[in-house]
Amino acid sequence: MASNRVAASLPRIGVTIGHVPQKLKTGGIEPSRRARLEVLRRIVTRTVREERVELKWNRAVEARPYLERLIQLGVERGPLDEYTSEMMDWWLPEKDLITKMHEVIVPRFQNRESPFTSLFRLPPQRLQQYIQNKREVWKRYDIGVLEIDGNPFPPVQAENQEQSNSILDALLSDALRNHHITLQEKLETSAK
Amino acid sequence: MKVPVRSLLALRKTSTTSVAAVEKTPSPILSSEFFDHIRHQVYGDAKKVDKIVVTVKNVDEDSRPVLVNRNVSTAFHCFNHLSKQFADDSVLVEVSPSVGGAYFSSVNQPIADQSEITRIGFDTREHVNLVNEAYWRSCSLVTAAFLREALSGDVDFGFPVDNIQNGFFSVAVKGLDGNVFTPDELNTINRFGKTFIREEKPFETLSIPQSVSEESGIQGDHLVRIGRQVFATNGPVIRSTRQIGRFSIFKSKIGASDDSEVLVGGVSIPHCQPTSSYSWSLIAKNANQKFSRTQ
Amino acid sequence: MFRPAAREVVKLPTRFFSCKSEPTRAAPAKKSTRKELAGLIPAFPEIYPDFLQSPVWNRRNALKEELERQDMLERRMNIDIPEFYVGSIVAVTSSDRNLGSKEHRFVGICIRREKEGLLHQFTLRNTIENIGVEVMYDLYNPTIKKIETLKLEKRLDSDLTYLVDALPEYSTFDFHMEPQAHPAGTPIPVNEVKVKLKNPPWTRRWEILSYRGIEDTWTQATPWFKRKLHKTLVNDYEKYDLIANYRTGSTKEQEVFVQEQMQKFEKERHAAGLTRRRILKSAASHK
Repeated sequence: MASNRVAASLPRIGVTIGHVPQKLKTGGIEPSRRARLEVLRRIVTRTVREERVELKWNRAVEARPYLERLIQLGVERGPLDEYTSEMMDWWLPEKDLITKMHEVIVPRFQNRESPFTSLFRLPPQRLQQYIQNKREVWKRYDIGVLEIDGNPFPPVQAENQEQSNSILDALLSDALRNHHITLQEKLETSAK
Repeated sequence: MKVPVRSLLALRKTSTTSVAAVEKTPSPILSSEFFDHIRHQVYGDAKKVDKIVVTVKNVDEDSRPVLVNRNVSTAFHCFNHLSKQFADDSVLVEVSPSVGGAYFSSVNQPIADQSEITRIGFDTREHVNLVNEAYWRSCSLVTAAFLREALSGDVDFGFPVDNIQNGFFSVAVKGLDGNVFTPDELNTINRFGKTFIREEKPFETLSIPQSVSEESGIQGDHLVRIGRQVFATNGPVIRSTRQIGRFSIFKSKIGASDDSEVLVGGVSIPHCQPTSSYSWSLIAKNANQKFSRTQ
Repeated sequence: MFRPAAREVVKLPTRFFSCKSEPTRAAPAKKSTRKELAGLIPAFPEIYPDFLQSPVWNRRNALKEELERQDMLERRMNIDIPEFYVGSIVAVTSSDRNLGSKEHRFVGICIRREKEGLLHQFTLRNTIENIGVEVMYDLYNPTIKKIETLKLEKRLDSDLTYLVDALPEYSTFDFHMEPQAHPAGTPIPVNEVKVKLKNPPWTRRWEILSYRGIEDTWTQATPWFKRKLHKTLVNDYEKYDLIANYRTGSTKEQEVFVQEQMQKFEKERHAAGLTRRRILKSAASHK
């Protein structure tokens, strides 16, 4: 805020970003804004190392834009930029990850637009917290999977299943194909 | 509903008054009595009852043996022992007799021998093409059936082989003297057809051996009875008209090969594959265009 | 026994996700256009802070911004608004009907530029007869007759409000100062002067706001204030919050959109032959 900006603005980030930063549970560490950044830093570091992580949904949603921005800095400005290296140093305290970021992850997205990450929601999990006077306390967790695209793991989402051959699908796909063709022809004739 | 079509055709008959000398074909008159006669011939006397054990194979659960009557009970009866829903949803059945090779048959065809049977529904994954063929064949048979009920004159039917990919099925009607139906008439026929289909008539099927078909001059290896109408055809058909959902006869035209026959085109979707009226209108329009384009 | 087809079919699990994104494999992808567009200014947000969007997201309204932009461009066709930054020395001549000359000229250092759109304001500061004077102008106020940049430079900070607590020599400028020309195409010079603050109390606790242009605030403080201020709020980690910056900053897409609109507007006016005035210009990136 106080110091002058040096470089040109970055493009927008292609993922959902709320207009208010969400509070994260940090175990009562003060100040909470610092603790929030520390939580996010751990998530970002872990994601860069493992490329696919399973998190609580709200944390995954909150950490995703930070990861996106970090990759974007690498893609747009490169490792020699002062601001980029400062941010990389802070967000990736393990130094081998900075090398990985610049040599493995950033080249992957050199010719790509954001988003560079994917987020999937898994079914919620119910986990037992503790037993108090024979009373079991359970808690429900929303789970998200955050991953950097182009990772070597098998895809989270199943590939598109082959086209069904049922009567309705066969007829409807044929009808739609012809419908589009006639629309296209109409457009072309009207354009002439 | 029946009357207006009849009178309509009758009116046209009188107006044209060109009663051609109808040459008698060697094929027999396919009537309900004839169907009973052939059934008696193929499967023997219904009064003499033999018991056989048929094993109904269920995909998820274990197979289940069922005691039924030889040559009388059909696969539909066997399925009914499991549940009515299970039986109602069946389209075809795969029969593996204890002697001889497995074959696919209609659900309403009597079982001749001790065997294992497997139900095939519209939700099948392996036999999609088989089910589609059977459904398309059944649709043209149903069309022929209600056309014969609706038309007063002597009409004969041919069944051109249509693929699902064509987008329509067709029936060749002989004996209309090259008169195609007007859109009004097609509307009336469609309404009549709808009531016919709603009556939930089963497709009673007989598999005819080569010798019997040659002897009685039936063209085809299956004999199908829908209500009181009997047709010969070349493969298995679905269980009942209840399984037919949206159904429409949209056009008729003079046949390409023969001027005397009129081709009637239609399209249909199974009842268990519901769709919006918009999609249905797209399908019907596409089928109509394709039917008009083909020669 | 003859089996016509395989009985077992592998059923793939079909899942439905609430999230729209799909895991695109990184290898083959569309080539994006990362080339710099011709004639666009990299330092646009600094030169034209009035053309940015509001940092508060729910106050951003595309229609309002569009209408305001039209008005701003029209105004810029009638008055030459030069490029100036926080830290530049600016002279503003505004009309004042109560004065004999009917106009009033004020010279001072620009210490703030704030707000977006038609409401954009900038504040000039000077010391007149040993009294600090700050005049806040609306950039699009129609009574402003002329704006001149006497000295085009930047300071280390983008907000010089702390000059109010600095020694008066740092905000004293000659009213008859000659304008200094800036050679076109050279980068804007940064004046790296560090100001000395007066002794506390100050209007704000400048020492914790991480300003770079303030010299050594601690040693000058008296023991009483040292005791009082020694518990300080450390928040220098805030700069690592990448998304906090993103929320308040502008994006490249928006800047490109606005600049293209300005170029188009200029071209239309030039083609009509009404004016030769240029709106979109930058001293640093001038060729």
